[in-house]
Amino acid sequence: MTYYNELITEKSWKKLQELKRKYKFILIGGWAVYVYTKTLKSKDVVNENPKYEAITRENYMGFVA
Amino acid sequence: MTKKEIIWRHILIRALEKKQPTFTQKEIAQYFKISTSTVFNALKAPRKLGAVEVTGRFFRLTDAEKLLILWATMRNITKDIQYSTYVPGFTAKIEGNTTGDTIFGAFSAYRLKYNDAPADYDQVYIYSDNLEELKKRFPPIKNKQQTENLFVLKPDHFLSSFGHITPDVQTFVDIWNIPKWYAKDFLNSLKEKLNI
Repeated sequence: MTYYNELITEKSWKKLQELKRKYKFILIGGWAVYVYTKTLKSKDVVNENPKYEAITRENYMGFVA
Repeated sequence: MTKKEIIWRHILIRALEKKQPTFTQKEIAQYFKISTSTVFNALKAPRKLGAVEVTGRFFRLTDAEKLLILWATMRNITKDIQYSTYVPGFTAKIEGNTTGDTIFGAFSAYRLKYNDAPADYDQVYIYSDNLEELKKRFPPIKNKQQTENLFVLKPDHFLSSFGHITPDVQTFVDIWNIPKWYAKDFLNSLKEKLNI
């Protein structure tokens, strides 16, 4: 059994891809660890970006920016 | 959920999603590994209401809405609640912290399936047998002033075959039985989605 629900991690991953296409940011948190280790997937997207407010508005419905 | 309800769910999904309104007692009995008499008894009330008709060797669902409403009124969601607690934070965060085997129900099921919600909601209903892990992630309420906002329901053996979200007919009957003001908005939207 995966730690987080696959439905949630899949949506989170798709959201990350969408954000990546639109903005430049530094990925930190769970997905950053996953990119290196390919182990535990994350359920939210955490990033560092000067345009924080824009990304926060975009990153709605349960994701933390 | 009773065997009767599981059979009703099966018939509704076949008719509404797979566009197969006809069925035989035997095929349902074989599918669920139950007796044909159990299937026959499950069809008594829908037949009496005119939701199901007998045509030769087959049964035919003629009024899906009637059967759905019948099921909704018979559903006893409170009986299926295994655990409930209060979790601080918004609902999406609660949903995000559930276990890998969780099946989302009610409002969460709608939102996750349609990437939208007809109204804001503040309760999360999930189906899971993994109580030990869920209680670690969402401990029991300490302050009795708090109102529960996470409800863990007992899944039946066949529910996991639908994936991590309850099918729309199940979502409908579950929401029907939740006494929240915003349930009506979800039910109206689901009726449109189900085309009834």
